[in-house]
Amino acid sequence: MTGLMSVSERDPELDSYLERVKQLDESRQGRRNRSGPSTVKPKPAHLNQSYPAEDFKKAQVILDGEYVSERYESEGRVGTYSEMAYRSAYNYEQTFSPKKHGRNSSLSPHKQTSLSSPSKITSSRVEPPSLSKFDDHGAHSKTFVVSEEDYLLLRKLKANIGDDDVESESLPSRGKPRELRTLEKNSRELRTLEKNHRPQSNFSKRNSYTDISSDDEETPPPLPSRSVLHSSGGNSDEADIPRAPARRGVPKIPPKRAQFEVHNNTKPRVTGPPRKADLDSNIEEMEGKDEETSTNQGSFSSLVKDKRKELYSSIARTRPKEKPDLEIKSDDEQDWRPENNEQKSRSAGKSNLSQLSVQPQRHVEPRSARRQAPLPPTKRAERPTGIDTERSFSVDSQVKSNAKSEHLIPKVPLKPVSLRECPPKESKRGVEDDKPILDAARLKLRPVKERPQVPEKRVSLTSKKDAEQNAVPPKPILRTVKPSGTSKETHENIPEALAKREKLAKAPPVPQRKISMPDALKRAETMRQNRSKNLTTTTKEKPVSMDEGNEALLMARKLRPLSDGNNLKGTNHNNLSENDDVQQNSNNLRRFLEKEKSKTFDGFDGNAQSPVAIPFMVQGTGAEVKKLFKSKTESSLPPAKKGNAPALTHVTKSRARGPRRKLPSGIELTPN
Amino acid sequence: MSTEAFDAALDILRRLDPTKIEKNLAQLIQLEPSLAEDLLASVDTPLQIKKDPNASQREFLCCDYNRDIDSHRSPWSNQYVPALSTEELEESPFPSESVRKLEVLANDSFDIYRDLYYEGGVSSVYLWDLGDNSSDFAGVVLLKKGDKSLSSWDGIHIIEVLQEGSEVVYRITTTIILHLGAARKMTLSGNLTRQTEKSFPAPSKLSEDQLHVWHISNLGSLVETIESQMRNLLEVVYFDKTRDIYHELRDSSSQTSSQNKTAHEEVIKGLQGM
Repeated sequence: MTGLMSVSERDPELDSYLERVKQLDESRQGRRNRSGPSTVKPKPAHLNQSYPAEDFKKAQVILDGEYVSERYESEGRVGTYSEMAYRSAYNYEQTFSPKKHGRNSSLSPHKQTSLSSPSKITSSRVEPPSLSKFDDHGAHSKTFVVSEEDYLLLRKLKANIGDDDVESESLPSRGKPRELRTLEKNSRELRTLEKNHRPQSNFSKRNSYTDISSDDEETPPPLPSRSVLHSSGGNSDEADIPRAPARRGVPKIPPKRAQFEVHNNTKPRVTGPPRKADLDSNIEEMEGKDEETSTNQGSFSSLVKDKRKELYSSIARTRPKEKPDLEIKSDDEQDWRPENNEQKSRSAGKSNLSQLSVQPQRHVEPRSARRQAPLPPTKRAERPTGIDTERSFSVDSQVKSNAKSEHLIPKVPLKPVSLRECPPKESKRGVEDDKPILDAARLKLRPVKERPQVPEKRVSLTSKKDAEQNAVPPKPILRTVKPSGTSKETHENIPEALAKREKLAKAPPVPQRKISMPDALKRAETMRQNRSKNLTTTTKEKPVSMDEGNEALLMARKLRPLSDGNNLKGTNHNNLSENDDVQQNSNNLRRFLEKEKSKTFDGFDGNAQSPVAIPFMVQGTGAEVKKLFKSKTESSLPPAKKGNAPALTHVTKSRARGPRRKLPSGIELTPN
Repeated sequence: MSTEAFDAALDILRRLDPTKIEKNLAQLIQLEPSLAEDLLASVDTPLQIKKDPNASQREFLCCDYNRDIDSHRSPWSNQYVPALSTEELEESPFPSESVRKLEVLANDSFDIYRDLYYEGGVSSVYLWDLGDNSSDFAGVVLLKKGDKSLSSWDGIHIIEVLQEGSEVVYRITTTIILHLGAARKMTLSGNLTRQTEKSFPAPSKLSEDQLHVWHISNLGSLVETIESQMRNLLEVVYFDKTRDIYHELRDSSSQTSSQNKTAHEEVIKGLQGM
């Protein structure tokens, strides 16, 4: 559930993010629209010279109104542009459009469809160029959306128009120019055919494509990505045709889908490695499509009327190439029905991005897909299943622009108005646009800016989570669950647990073990005490009894003559003291003697059983101690001897004596 | 006086040289002839071996229980050897028929036992009746080995089988006289006496032969266990005691004792530290 919630929550965030990006793109567009002409200016003059004048004439004819499409008419800007602008746009178209790479056919079908069957086919593919921001740029000043990188690529491509092929090859990530040669051949042929451009019905085109598809079916389908790339060369025309009408908002028709399916089939064929047979077939097809090319040329001329339209027509050509055919189907149905400025801007952004990737081609999309993939993982899954594949695609393109503009975004949104008002920044940005190095610096700064964005999401998520947690934390509920019984039980549970703990603490016999150790210590202490007692008694008794007594006697003897005449009492005291000492000594001796005689003497009852350890040094010094030691040993022995005497038992006395019998002869003799 | 003299005589005989117990016994009897019968019955002396001429000179053991005057009854032929006169024989003790059957069975069975445990020697079993109760009887199981050698093992098992109620009590007084001699250089001899008693539930509805077998089996198991125990006791008393005495004379384990003392001191210190 939480995962689903998170997924559902991400979408609005993405939407908000995309909206921000849109706003930023729009703001940028506004700036670039101001500086837009500067982008268009750098059109090289040699390109104008390189193209034949016939093309200009044709374009002029188209501009004159031969192939005025409905949308252009609705916009009402067809005739407003000057020839210089047309030339610049046309040159731009020639340089970057697939014509130069053999993709002229891609433009022609759009135009044909727009002319012949403006209803559906034109609506399918021609719209992206019609939505080109140049148109809106003139009118609304917000329609053109091109990322800086793409713009820089365009600049580079313009500068190196002559080496387009080389550039396309040099660019690693923008596709592989394998089929450029074949496409160039086709483009040349198509150019020749363009001269005889004739309107042709979409059905004929479709049939031709179907034929190609049938041929393609024989060959194994190549990888889809490359197939798109290669199809852009020969079949890009086919791909472009259905998209133009789709953008016009024309209601869809089921055969369109069939056509797109055919495209799917055709693309792989074209994507295959260049083969002679394929080339021949392509040539034949192209020859069969002379009329188509002519119509394409006519449609192209109608597009060329607007510089911007031309640019975006060339940009839009790349766009369908980038997109898979399946996406194109859905594009026709949903996204292009409502033609809002936002959608146009989206499509323009897409087209621009795709256009930038024209020669590098399709790798732009994979980049976007790769960049987008981490951000909305859910939408990936939605893409195949999603109904609005166009939206998804648009989202992808926006994400691209976001990925590129994200780094610029945080600065811009904080001060959008100020930035618009401040010209120097805009000029700086214009300068930066010209300098890719600064872009790289911006790219470096991007991750730093992404970091604050991530925490914002987290904050949102955390806020939500916190809200959820705040809602959930009725974890007091758990408290309520614990007291599952009554409230009294809850109060009682704690003392019960404590009582149990106390019981458990009482249960283990660990304290007993602890007690066992002190016992040994106590015994050791008792041993020591006994020793000390014995020693103290012996040591104290000895000096006090014998030495002090002797000293006292000596002192008494010395004092007697003095005391006899002076103080009888003192003599008496001395005599008494001597008598006391003698008595004490005698008592001590008695004690020792009694010890020898009986173990059950009062002072040694408890110690009699316990062995008395007397150190050697003490034994040697005190004779009384020796007596004590001897008494212990000697007293213990005699009773044992006494006890052993009656212990003799003669078992043989009680045993059976045997039958009555006569004594031996010799024994009988002895008693006699 | 008789009892005190008797006890005194027994005490003296216990403390005198066991190798000269026969001589000492004779001298005591000479000193106090009234104690002759009791002393002869109570003092175990080394067994003598005789050959029964009635049983193809088969050896049999002689003790005071099969003696009459100077003759000993052979378990094999149930005759005294040397033969007594008819008058003497009339007064001479003989087991009853049932006991004699049991005696024969016992001799045969213990002869097997002897062969199994002693791998030689001589065994003899003599039984006699106790009073009027036919069921009660007594006997002696004699086992001897090493008659021809300096060392000898004499086993004397005085058995009393008494029926007390539903049980049969077997009381056995065992004396083992061990003499170890090595060419006059060293002799180690002594006797050990133990008395054991064990009761078995009295069998019911058993034939005489079956009852004899039952008794013999019980006696055999008892004698077997007692002898094994006595052998271990002798090993401890004689040899371990002599070893202790030997160690008392000169302590060869002073180092070990000192080490033990130090170890004990360490243990005590550790306990005090606890």
